[in-house]
Amino acid sequence: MKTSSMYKTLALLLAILTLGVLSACGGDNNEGATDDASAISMMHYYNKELNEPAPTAQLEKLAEFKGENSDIKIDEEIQSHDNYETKIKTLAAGNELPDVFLIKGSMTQTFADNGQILPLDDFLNEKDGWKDQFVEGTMTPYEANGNVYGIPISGGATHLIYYNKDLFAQAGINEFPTTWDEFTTAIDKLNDAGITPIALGNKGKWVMNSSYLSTLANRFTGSEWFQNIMNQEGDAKFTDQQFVDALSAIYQLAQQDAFNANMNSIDNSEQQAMYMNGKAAMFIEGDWAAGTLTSDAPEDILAATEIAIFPAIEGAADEQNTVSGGGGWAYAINADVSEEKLAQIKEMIYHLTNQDAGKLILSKGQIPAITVPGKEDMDIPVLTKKILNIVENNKYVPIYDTVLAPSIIEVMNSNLQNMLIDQVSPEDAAKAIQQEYERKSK
Amino acid sequence: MKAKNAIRPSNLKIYMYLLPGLLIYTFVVLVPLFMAARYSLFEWSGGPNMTFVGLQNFATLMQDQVFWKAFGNNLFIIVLSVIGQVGIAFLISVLLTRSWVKWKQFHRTVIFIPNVLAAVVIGFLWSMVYNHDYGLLNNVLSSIGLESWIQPWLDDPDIVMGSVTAPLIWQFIGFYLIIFMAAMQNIPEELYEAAKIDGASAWRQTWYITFPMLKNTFKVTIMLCIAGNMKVFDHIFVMTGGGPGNSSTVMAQYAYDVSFNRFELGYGSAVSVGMLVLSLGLIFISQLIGREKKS
Amino acid sequence: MRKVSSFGKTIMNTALLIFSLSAVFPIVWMLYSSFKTQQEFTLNIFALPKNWNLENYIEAFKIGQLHNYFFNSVYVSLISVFLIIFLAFIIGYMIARHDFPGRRIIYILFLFGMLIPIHGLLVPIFIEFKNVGLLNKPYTLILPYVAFGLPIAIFLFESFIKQIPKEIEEAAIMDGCNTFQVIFRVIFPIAGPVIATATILSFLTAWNEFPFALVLIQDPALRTLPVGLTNFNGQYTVNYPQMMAAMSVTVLPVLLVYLAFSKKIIQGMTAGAVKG
Repeated sequence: MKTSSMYKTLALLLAILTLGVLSACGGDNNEGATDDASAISMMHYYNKELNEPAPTAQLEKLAEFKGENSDIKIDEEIQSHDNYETKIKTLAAGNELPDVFLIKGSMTQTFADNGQILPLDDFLNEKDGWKDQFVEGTMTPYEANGNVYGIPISGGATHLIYYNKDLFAQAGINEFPTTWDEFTTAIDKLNDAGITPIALGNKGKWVMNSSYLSTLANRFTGSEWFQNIMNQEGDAKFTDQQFVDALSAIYQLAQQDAFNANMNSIDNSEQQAMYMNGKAAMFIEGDWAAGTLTSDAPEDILAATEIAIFPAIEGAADEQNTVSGGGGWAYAINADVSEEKLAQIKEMIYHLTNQDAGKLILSKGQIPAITVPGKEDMDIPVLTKKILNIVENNKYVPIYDTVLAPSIIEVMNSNLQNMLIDQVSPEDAAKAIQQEYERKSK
Repeated sequence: MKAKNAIRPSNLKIYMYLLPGLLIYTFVVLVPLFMAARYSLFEWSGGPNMTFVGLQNFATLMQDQVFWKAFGNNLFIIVLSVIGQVGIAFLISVLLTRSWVKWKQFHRTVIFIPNVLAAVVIGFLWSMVYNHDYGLLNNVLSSIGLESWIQPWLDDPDIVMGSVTAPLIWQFIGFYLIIFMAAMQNIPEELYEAAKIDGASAWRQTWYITFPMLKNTFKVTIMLCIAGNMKVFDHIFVMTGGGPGNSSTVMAQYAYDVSFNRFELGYGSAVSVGMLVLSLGLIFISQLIGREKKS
Repeated sequence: MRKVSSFGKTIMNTALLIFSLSAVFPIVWMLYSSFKTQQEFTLNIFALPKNWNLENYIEAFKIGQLHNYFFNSVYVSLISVFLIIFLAFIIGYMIARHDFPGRRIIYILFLFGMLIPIHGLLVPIFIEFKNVGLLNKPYTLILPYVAFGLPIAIFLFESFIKQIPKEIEEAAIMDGCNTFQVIFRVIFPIAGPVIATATILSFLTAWNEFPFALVLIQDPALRTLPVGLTNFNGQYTVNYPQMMAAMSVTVLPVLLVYLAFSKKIIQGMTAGAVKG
């Protein structure tokens, strides 16, 4: 009968299931690696198949280290970049952080306050001259309560203007503008020539923050103002005229149609795509974009690509040769690791972040956080060379979202999006940011 | 008497039957829920340090403009979805009973297919449809001479909520369609035959037989619709990331942002608890309205 | 007697057809896009590929480790679905048929589960699982999938069983069936369509579930497909055609499962069809 056969099937399924669960229970005895207490647990987001410069370099160095230290067991968990962030925060909440892992600048304060990561100042001084080999400003995001908590890997600029000199010439611009006024005039000319001046993909909200505002605001406010904001000293406020002027400059760009209309609904890889398709004369992003351009851009576009930074603001008092940079990810060590493991982890981190590692990162086309001697003679991609040139002639200033509290960044980013589409004025945006800043300072 | 006893097992027996399900459910859902409710009374950034703050997180929540804006967005989605998902699904299920409708088998099979796709895939796909420059929608509009309708669908705060709701409706019509088709199956054939003999038209039969007989199904689907759309997250996150500004931020995304981007796990739990309370309230109200209509 | 004009019929038929086609289009688009190169894709996202190369699929399996994750997904989803249907059917039956102390509370507690935002419970569940030592086991994911799958299934079963006339069971009991037999020999077989619906829904949620799979599992050997899919996102780059290839690999099995079940539903449907 049909009903009884169904019943039999059910019973059979139940039996299989029970067996499955039981055998699964037994199965975890021979998992090995994950439960091995002597192995160093490590979490990162490097995927060699994606061919991203710094991660690939790290993987190669890691393999090298494993080869040289076969007695050290390393148990890696690899997640994709976005998942990595969610997962590491959940692990932190459950106090289950791996022995060694990557942190972003914005995580430093929280992890440090919770006593979950080790201060690394002593470690940096253990190796001769190591600390001083790092480019100035690359440690800033990982400082909290007077200590350094992370050893940075890459630390290029987050603000670079990639522009197409052929399209500029078509619009009658023969040289990249050297003042802000010239810059806005150039945008008008490009618009008149029917070319989208700047491709902007700000859906992820961080582009406007790390690749625009962090550098542009510094042109207006100077570094001291931001130091005061960061350390909550003096009377610096986000509502100060200099900062509002910086916001207004961005607001004005949007007002004169410098960007594509869908700037808040496409992401950074789409802004690159617009540029690579020759639809836009510029896009503004960090040094990593050079890698994508080098591998994916059509030849004519790549050949026409030059790199610049925001020009100087007329009449602004402070130094104008700055560029936001020194961010990215850094190695952090779990505060609970044993002495023995700590020694091994230190060796490993040193191997991954010393000048040799830096050289490898550079040769793959990304700017390392550490200085690389003899780079002039190295064979590196053309665009990366151009970027290196810019980075060396300018000074790093902090990237906002690596040093300010995440909630302030969130308010800032939402307001920037709204400001771009004229939903909020620069003054009101500044007020909202200041309000959150005061709430956090309490 | 004897027969009745046999039909109705003892209470103990009933509880034994319920036990396995209840245990798993309690362990995975109820206990963590209590934990979350507890966290909501603390200031906590993860890790070992927790500061008890009483109801302060909820006081903050009451005044949190972004949260209420997000709630408004959820409400918007719910209203459109009740009309769009439930309404259209009912309409299609009725149409599929009509003899003059062609390719019924095809429709029945195919309309559910979007449900097979993960929310992330749907979001990704529709952001391609909406893309301003090369998107499908604007391409179609310009090819049929409606250039003036072309919009930056996901960039204008005035229309973005409509744009992100459309894919939700599109995806879930199939789900409600299945429920309606299954429910219609249970309407006794005799009712229709009697009506036919009385000479009632097909649409009158729908209005006077199908519709009232499905009253319970409507209540069910509307409840599911509210429950589902109060939690909606991934679709919209993929399309707009909640932007521009906060104009398409929904409550679940806000709870996620607060917990995982800002590291304010205590307050994040308060947001989740707030969501739950609001969902319960909405469902309660919808059931009240349902009851009034009956009387 | 008002009839739909033939013009109206044509309009309705066309509208339905357009809607149905829009429901298939995404999958078709995903399939053919998965054969394009990244450059082809960015140049025109809707055009057909110039060459039908399999490169993306080969890469997808390499990068995404799809073959490893595929089995895990199948295993976790199947067991979860089976448990959900089995447990929910019993609970749904008890709640629909018998009045016992706490019945309403239990029902409401289960329904409550449909309202819970999963992300809100991510951290507490992680901590609870960690404390009891349930993280990172082959059966770890089955627990949340079952627990979060129960509410909707119970809900569907309860409302269906309520509508079945009691006489059928009474007759069975007279014939000497015990409760378990009544549930699974008498009621279960006539609940075909609603079981199919519940099966599809719970299979889909388990198959596509992401946050728990990310947080509760560490061992790559236990990972499921949705987490593997995100391997295609770099920090600053996404390779869309490759992602499409991987998505196609993950969507096709569910599509087949659905098509298998949909036939069953439709058979049941046309047998007792409501003719208009």
